[in-house]
Amino acid sequence: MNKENEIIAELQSMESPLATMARTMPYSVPKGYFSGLTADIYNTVSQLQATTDSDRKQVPEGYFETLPEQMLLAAKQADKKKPVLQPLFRQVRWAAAAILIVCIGIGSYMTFDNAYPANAETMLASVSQNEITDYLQDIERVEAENISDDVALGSAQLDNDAIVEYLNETGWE
Amino acid sequence: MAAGAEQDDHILVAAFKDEKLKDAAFTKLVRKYQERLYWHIRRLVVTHEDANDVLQNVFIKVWRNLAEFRGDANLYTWLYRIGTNEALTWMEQQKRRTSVSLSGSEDIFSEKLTAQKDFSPSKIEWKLQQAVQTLPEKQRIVFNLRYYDEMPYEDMAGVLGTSTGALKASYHHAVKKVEAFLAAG
Repeated sequence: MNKENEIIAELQSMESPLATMARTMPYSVPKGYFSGLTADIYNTVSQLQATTDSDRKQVPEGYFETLPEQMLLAAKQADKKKPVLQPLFRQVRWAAAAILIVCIGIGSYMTFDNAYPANAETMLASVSQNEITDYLQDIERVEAENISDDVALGSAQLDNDAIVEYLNETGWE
Repeated sequence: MAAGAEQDDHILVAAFKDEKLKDAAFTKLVRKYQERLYWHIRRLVVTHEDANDVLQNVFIKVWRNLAEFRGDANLYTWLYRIGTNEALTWMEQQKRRTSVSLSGSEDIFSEKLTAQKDFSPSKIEWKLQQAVQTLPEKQRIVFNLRYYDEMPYEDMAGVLGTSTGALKASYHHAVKKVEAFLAAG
């Protein structure tokens, strides 16, 4: 059984009316299309091949052969450059941190240091003359009272022999 | 496909791999398959201009890939597979272009059919084409390959990557749908 008969037999087994219909295509094709088609396709393919060949010739001879090595070299050089930049950046960062700490230290010192007078002279400068005079007079009065008390105590408890003995031991002057 | 024709294809492929015989082998291959592939593509894309463009693409692919073609495969089914894929890709592009325009993409090929020269809805051969256009894409391909190209199911399985059982069922459904369309008048 040839193919045509096989197709018809199959349609007949399906009891299809298609089995008796003519299998012609109603589409039209331009006159002489198929006779020139092979040449058309061959020309298209040849032009493509020529374009591909000319594209290949537009790069320097041996370019693609040496390209992998060149790319590897470029990649390695790019890698080498990175460590030079990195420590420099780190140094700048540490320097900035140190400057910041010093600034904070100085600021803190100045802030807390100003809360107290710098020395005794500064303190005295802030006290008025009258206050100093009053103070000195008070001191003199208290010392005089203390001396008179001591004298009174001494005259009451020490006799002349003890005083002479004391002076003999320590000296009369 | 006949054993003699298959043997010829093996010789063609071997000749194509020889640089001296390449051009002659390719020309012979194109001459041998151009009409069958053209009609297979034309039934799918409908217009001659589109069929011609797709066919050119098919043979460009053949030129670029035939050197890698394995001898254990069937050249004829390989060519049909490229033709089918190229046609489907083309149709998909057409649908996408139409879907972004104002008209719908569903009836694009039916519209192309009715716009064909000499189209006559009263003639049975045109009516049959209209019926085929209503089939789902896969069924349409199966119907065309079997009804018009008289392709054995085994070869069709090689083209479409589907089992022969599924292809027979698909063809059966397609035939019934076409009949129903024709009967509806």
